[in-house]
Amino acid sequence: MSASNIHEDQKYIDGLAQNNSFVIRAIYDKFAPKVIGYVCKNSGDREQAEDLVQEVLLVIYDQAKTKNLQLTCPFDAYFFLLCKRKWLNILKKSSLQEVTINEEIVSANEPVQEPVLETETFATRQSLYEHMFQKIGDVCKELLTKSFELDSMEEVAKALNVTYGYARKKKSLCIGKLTKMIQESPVYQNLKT
Amino acid sequence: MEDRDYILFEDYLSHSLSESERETFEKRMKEDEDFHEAFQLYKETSAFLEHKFSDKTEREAFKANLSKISNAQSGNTKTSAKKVKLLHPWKLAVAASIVVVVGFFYSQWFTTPVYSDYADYPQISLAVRGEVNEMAAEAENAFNTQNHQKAIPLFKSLMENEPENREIQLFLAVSLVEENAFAEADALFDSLLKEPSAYLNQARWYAALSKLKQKEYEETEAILRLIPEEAEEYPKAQKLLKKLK
Repeated sequence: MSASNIHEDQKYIDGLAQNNSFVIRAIYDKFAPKVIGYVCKNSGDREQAEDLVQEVLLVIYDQAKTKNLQLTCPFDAYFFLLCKRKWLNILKKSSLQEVTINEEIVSANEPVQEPVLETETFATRQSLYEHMFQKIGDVCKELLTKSFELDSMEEVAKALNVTYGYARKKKSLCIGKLTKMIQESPVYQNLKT
Repeated sequence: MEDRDYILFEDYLSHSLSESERETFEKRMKEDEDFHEAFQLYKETSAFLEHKFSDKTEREAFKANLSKISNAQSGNTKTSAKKVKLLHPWKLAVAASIVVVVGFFYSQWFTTPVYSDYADYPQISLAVRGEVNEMAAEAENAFNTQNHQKAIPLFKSLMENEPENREIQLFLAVSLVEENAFAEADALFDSLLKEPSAYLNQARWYAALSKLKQKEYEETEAILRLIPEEAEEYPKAQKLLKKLK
């Protein structure tokens, strides 16, 4: 992606990644009320809306931190569409409840669709990785935790009372095992198509 | 993929391959699609784990900050509804005159804190919409380098585009205080304090500092007392209140 495609609202993304309170406040001031209004009009309450806003901001933060998220559309539209789609998913899942959708704010803005889908795919991948990590087995879990918590593999070897060579090799094999489990999951296959 | 492939991935990522090994690796990436895909996933999974564990403290801090700001925001909206009822003008007048009398006696006896001890501003990053990018950057820069004389007209022009932007109003007010343009600053603070917003408590804090700089200690106290316990500014407001007593 060329630098010229990056929208000036990238500053919100950067501000989130830097945990900049001024920027976060600005987001709450300018963009959150619209989301809260939407949720309240569509079978939700204020508390649920606030949780939704926090969850979406956290996903954006994660994507900014790990994937160097670069925004190519206005933040307002991007953020609102993410929240809206996530809320509709939540409603769909809790289908016991009767749902009324008040579709007033329609976002037919083309350039927004792509970054929104990218962020959604990122979020799905994140939760898939997390889910598989929980299933990987205790030995790998401990070794990987230490490998990324500690500064060097020498320290990891020492902490686990194994040789440096073993720790290094085991780290790659554990990540390998994790990627295999991810690749074999239906969610991953779905994402690919 | 075989075990040895994963070991190779790790060696490549940790720059432990020799130059010829690296070239062979990159060549295979171009030719073997499965190998390429497996490596990309390996890299992404590593990045995920890195973020999960290495950035854990940072991420927790971000989450905590989010809830704090979110709570402050919804707290503001909730309390503002109650406050409208309570603010009868005569009550305000009584409260203000008590503050004036009490404040007068106390301020005579103790050394009073000064504005410059408290006036430290964070670096700002303006959140402006529309085609005013450059001007916003210039204003940001002027403010951050404490060139308030230059920042003031820039903030004012930005406000013409977005008269409702409370963030700009707040920074403009702060710059005006720095330049001793109190009447204009206080008028802005007045309007900021009237409505709930994400900047309400920050605005209260800086409005109090404006009064402090004008040596209007009773008013400083009265404004500081408006800052609720859950606000980020509460601890420093309490400290300043103690010193004013």
